[in-house]
Amino acid sequence: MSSDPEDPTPWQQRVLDNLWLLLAVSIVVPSVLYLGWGLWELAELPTWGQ
Amino acid sequence: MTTRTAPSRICNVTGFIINRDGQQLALAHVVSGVVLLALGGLMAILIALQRQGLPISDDWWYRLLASHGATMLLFWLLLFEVGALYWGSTMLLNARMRAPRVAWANFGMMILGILMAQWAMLSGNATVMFTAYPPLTAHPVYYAGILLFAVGVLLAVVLFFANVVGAKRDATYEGSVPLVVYGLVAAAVIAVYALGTGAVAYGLLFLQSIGVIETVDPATYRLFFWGIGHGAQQVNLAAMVAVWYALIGLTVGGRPVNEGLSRFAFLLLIAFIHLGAVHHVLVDPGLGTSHRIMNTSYMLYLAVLASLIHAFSIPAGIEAAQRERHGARGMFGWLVRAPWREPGFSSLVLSVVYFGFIAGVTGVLMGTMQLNMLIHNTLFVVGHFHATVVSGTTLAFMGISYYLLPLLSQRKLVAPRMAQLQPYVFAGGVALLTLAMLQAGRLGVPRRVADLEYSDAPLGVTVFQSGPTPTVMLLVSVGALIAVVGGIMFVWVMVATLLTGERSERPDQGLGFAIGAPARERQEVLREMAAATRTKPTTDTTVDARGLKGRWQRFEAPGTYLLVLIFLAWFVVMYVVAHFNLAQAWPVG
Repeated sequence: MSSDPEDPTPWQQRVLDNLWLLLAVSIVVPSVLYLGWGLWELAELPTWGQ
Repeated sequence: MTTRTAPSRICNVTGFIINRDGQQLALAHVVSGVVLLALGGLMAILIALQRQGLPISDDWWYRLLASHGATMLLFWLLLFEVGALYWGSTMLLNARMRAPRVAWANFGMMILGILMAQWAMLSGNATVMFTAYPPLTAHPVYYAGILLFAVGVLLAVVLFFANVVGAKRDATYEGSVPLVVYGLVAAAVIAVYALGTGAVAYGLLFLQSIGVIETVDPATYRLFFWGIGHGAQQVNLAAMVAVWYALIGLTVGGRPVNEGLSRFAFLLLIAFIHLGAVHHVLVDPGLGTSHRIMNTSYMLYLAVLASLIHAFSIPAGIEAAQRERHGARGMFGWLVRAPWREPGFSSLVLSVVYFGFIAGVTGVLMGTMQLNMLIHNTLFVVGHFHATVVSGTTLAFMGISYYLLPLLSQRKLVAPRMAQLQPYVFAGGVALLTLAMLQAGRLGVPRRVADLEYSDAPLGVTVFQSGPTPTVMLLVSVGALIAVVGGIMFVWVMVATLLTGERSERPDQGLGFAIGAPARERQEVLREMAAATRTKPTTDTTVDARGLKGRWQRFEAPGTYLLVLIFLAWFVVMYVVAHFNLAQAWPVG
C-alpha cells in the first residue's frame, strides 16, 4: 500500500491491490478455521497420534 | 551478474508488447498441458468403455483411473494455468519475464515429476487413486513425482509474483492490474496455501514410504490432503473466472459492469473458498459438528456469494457490450445476435451456464452435511467434479486456447470450422456424462469401484444389474465417448495449428477478435503511457484486459437480470428436490 499522503487512490482499491495482504488473507483464514481448528479437534481424540 | 533480456515485439492483433521469454514459456506450458489432456482423454474412454464390456482387467482399470485423475485434475490444468500466469504477468502487463532460465529449469522439473508419477501409476506401483488415503501405500517415486510437480508449480507462482511486482516497480502499467491479471493473482494466491498443505500431506506419505516414519494418521492426512485436493480446484476456479473475463473482452469486446465489485468477489474467493474443503471430510468421525457446520454452512457461503457476483457480472458484461457495440435490442436480442460461431464465445457461454446450473448447485448441495452423507462416495460426487473441471474449467481453457495459441505461435488457426463445432460437441458429451453420473449417484452406484457386481465377494451385489442403473451407466459411457470426440477435435486443431499452421504476423484470420479493431487505440494508449510522466498515478480502476480505460457511461442488462432470477429459481428447486430425496432415504416420523 502506498504511504504517499497525496496519493488519491481510494483505500479500498489500495487494499484490493495489495498482493501481500491478499496472500496473508488466503493463508491465515483457512489455516485458522479449517486446519488449526480441525487439528485441535483431532488432537482431542484419545487415539490420535497412536 | 548480467540480466538477459529477451527481445520483445508488438502483437499486430492485440497491440500488446510480447516478451519473447514469456511467450515461449507460456506456449511450452500450454502445449504440454494439451498433450496431457489428450493422454487423460484416452484413459477416460477406456475407463468408460470398461463399463460396457471392454475387456480391461480390474488391475488395469485402477491404474488407468489413478492416472486419469492425476492427469486431469493436477497435471493438465495446473500446467495450463502456469502458462496463463506467465502470459498474464508479461504480455498483459507489458512486462518482461523474470528469471527465465529458472522458469525453464522449473518447467523441466515439473515434467520430470509428471513422468515419475505416471510411471508409478501405470506400472501398478501407485493404484492409490487421486486421494492416496493411508493406509494405502504407493511406491516412493509416486510421492516424489507429485512433490516435484507441486514444488514446480509453487516456484512458478513465485516467478509470477516477481513479474507482477517487477512490472509495478518498472511502471509498465498504471493503476491496478487489469482484471484478468487480477483473477490470475487470485489463482496464484489461492495456490500457495493449497500447495503448502499438499506438500505436508504427500511429504508425510513419502517419508512413510521410505521408512523414515512408521505411520501416517489417516484423519490428519485427510485434513491436509483436502487443502490441495479441494484447493487445487479453487485455483482452477479463479483461473477459469479470469479466463471468462478475458473471453468477454476477446469475443464481444465486453468488460465487467462494475470492476470494483468483480475484484471484491475475487477477494471473497481468496479468503473463504479454501474452507469448502470441509465438505470432503463431512463424514469423517474425528471432526466436530461445529467445525463442519461453521465452515460449510456459514463461511463457505461467502465464497458462494463471490461466485454469484461473477455469475451476474459475466453475462451482464456480454449483454452490455452487445447492446452498446452491436445495437442489440429486446430482452434477449443480445443473445440472438451473439457470435455463436466464435469458439471462444460458445465455450464461454456453455462453460458459464453449465458451471452455474450444474456444477455450482451440486457443489453447494454437497456442502450440506445431511445431503453429503446421502451421496458421499457415489458417482454423484464424480458427476459434480466433472461438471466443474471438465464442462467448466476445461471448456473455458479450450475456448481461450483458440486465441492464445495463434497469438503465441504466430500461426493461423487450422480447421476453423472444426473449432466452431468443437465446443458444442464437447459440452454436449460432458453434459450427458455428468447428468448421467449424477443420476447414477442418486441410484447409489459407488465411485472408484471397477466391478459393480463385487464378483470376488462372498455375497455378490445384484442391485446395479437391474432397474434403471444399466441404462444410466450406458448414458455415462455414451457421454464420455462424445466428450472424447470433442476433445480429439480440440487437440487436432491445436496440434495442426502448431505443426502446420501458416506463419503470419496477423494470425487472427479465421477468428473474430473483438479487440482487433481497437488495437490502434490500444497502441495510442501505450504511446501515451510511455510519454506521460509517472508522477501522477491514475485513480481509474477500469483498466480492462486491453489496457483501455473508461467506465460504462450507462449499461442495460434486463436479460441478465431475468436469467439470474431463473438461476435462483433453479437453485431453490434443486434444494427442494435434494431434501425430498433425503426424506425418502431417511423417513422422519
